[in-house]
Amino acid sequence: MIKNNAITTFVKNQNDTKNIITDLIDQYSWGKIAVVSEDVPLMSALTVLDNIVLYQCYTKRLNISKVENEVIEFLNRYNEPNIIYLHKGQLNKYQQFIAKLARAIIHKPDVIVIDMPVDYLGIDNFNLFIDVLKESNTDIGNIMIIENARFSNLYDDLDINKVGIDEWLIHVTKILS
Amino acid sequence: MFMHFIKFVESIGKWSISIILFFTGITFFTIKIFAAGLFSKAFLNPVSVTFILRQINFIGVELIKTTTIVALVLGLAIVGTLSNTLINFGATTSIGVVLTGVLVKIAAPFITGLLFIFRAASAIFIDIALMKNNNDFKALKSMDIDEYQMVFFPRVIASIISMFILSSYFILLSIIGSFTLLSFQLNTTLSVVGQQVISALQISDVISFIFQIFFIGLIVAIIPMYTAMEQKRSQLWIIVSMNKSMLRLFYMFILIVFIGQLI
Repeated sequence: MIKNNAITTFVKNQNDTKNIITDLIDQYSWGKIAVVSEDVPLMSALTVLDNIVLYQCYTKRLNISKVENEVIEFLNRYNEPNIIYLHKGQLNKYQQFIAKLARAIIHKPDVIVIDMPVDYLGIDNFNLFIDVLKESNTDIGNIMIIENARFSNLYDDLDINKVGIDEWLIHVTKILS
Repeated sequence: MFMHFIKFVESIGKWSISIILFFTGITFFTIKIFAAGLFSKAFLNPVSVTFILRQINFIGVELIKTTTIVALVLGLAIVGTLSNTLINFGATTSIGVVLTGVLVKIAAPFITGLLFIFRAASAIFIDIALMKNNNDFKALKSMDIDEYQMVFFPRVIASIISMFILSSYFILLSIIGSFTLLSFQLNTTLSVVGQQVISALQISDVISFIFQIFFIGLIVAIIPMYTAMEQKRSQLWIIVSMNKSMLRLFYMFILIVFIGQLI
C-alpha cells in the first residue's frame, strides 16, 4: 500500500512537473498507481469497455463480461452509459476523460493521479466530476490532482492537501464528502 | 566502367545486408511472440482467448463468402479441365492421384493463401500501424501489459487457425463441387470418386499441405506486424510501409509455396 506521505514526498522531490506523470509510471506499477492523463491514451483498437477492464481482466484472469455491469454502473454516474461499446475515435474529450477515469478507478489502486481535469471537463462538468469522486471515495485510496494554479479555487471546498510546485498545484488528498 | 562495377557490388552488398537484417529481425520477433504467448503466466488468459476469437472473426470469418465462391468456381474449372485432359489421354485411373495432388498440394494453399494475404495481411498491417501511430503501445506499457502477448500473439494464432480452416474448407468445397461434375463425366457415383480421392491421398501431400498452411498463416501475421512496428510514427509512412510489407509478404509466400512443392 502506497501511503499518502510517500506520494507527497515524491511530488515534493520533483524539480520539474513536466515529467511527473512518466516518472510516477516508471516508479510504480499500474496496480498501485493508475493515471488519468494524455500520456496514457485509450487504445484506439478497443472499445471503451475493453479499455476500462483490460488491466483488471489481464491481471486477475477475469472474463470481460463479468465486469461489464460494474462499468455500466460507473458510466451511469456520469450520464454516459452509451459510450461503453464505442471506440476512442468516436468519443469527445469529456467522454475520453470519463473512460480513462473509469479505467483508473475500477481496479481500485492505492493512488489515482489525475492530470489537469479542468482541461478535459470544462467548468460545467467539473462539479459532476468532483461529486462522483466523493461518491467513489470509499472504493479508492488517495487521489492526486495536477492542476494549474489559476484553477485552484475550484478545489477550495474540498478537504485537500495542496503541494505547490512552480505554477502548478499538486493536490494530494483523500477527498472527504 | 570500374566505378559502375564498384557501385553494382555495393548495391548487391547493401541488398544482401538488408535481407540478412530482415530475416534476423523477423526471426527474433517471431521467437519473442511465441515466448511471450506460450510461456507466460497469462497463457490462455480469458482476455487473450477473447482477442484470439475476435481476430479469427476479423480476419477469417469474413473470408468465408469469398472462399466459397472461389472454391466452387476454381474447383470446377481445375477439375473439369484436368479430368477432360486425362480422359482424352485414357488415364482415367490416375484422376484421383492427379486431382488430389493438385488440390491439396497446390491449389488450396496457393489460392487460399492469396485470398488471405489480400484480406488479412492488409487488415493486420493497418491495425498495428494505426495502433503505433495512436500511441496505443504506450498505454499498454504504462499498464505493464506485454504487447507481444496481448497484441501480437492473438493475431498470429488467429491467422494460423483461420488459414487452416479456410484451406480445409476450400478443399472440401472443391472436392464436393468438382467431383460431382466428375461423377457425371465418368458415369460413376460421387462415393466411388470420393474413395478414389481418399485412397490417392499420400502422406507427403498432407505434410506439404500442413507445412504451407502453417507458414503462410504465420507470415501473413508476422510480416505486416514487423513492418508496421519498424515504421516511423507518421501517416505518410503507413502507406510507404504497407507497400513494403506486401512485397516482402509476396516473396515469402512464393518461397513457402515453392518449398511446399519440394516436399
